[in-house]
Amino acid sequence: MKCSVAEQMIIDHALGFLEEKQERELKHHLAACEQCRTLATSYDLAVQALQTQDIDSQAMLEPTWKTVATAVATEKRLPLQAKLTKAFLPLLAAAAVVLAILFSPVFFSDNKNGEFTRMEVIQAYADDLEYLEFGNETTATTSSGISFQEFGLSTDDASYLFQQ
Amino acid sequence: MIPEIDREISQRFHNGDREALEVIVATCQGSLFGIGLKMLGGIHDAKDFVQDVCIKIYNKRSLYNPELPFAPWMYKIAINLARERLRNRKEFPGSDSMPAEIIEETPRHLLVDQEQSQAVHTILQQLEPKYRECLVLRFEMDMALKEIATTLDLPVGTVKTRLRRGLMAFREQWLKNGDPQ
Repeated sequence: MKCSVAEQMIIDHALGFLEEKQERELKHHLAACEQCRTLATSYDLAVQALQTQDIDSQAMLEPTWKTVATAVATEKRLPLQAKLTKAFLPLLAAAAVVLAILFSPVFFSDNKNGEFTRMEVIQAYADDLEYLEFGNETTATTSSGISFQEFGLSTDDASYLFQQ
Repeated sequence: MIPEIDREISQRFHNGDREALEVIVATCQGSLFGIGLKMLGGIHDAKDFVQDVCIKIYNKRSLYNPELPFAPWMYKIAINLARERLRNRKEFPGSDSMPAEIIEETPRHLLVDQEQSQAVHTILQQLEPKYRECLVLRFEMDMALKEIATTLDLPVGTVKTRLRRGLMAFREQWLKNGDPQ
């Protein structure tokens, strides 16, 4: 076995990845190669250091449960609050948008600045739809009710464009 | 070692039983403290970390499937919280606490072991978090490859590579600093 292959196996051995057969092969190589033996020892020491449990880590901990219990007790009321917030926030946002539209200047204008009132806007839309015979497409396509001159077309151009 | 939480306790925990949570806290606080200490590097941070993980798992108990083992689910939350803390620390570097506090708070007879422990923490803090978390789960929690992969939501191959690179980097620093033993 080459030392480069052995090096990979040493790392895997330290991590506990090697299978029995590979362990035997590595052991065989280490018996004959001092350089790899030194490398393997250094990895073993590094792993030992990583495995060192923190001394008295339990004693370092203050009574965790007391703090957790207090937090959890206050949390008990939270789900209802959270649910209400979750349910009402989108509703409040939607209501805010609707109110903003309804109370916008276009709908509330008193026509002092030449702007349309809410009713005038709606009426203008209704007039346009009526003029265009919206909803009665069969007559609208015949062009009979439309004066093409209003749109800058001569009678000849209009008859050419809309010939049936 | 991964603490054992039996199915009855995890089911009761899922149903919101606070006594079950108390059992879990008592069983897992040591291992969570170990993860916190090695991931975050300071006792105060680790203590806060343990408490926050315990509160977080309780708040998220409805997301836990009691048919599955409890420990991987809890450690997944713990690792995510540790990652979040590390990210915040990067954004607000002043909040870091130093491992030196280990010495201040420890009885004299434990100082020799603590010196090595502190050296390990210092080196771990120098590693990239992605390597650090794999090494902590492997050696602090004694998790198998598959368990680490499940906890971190990573493919087994990625975990293997990270463990190899992490161990190589750790060993290099360990030799540079000189083995305190």
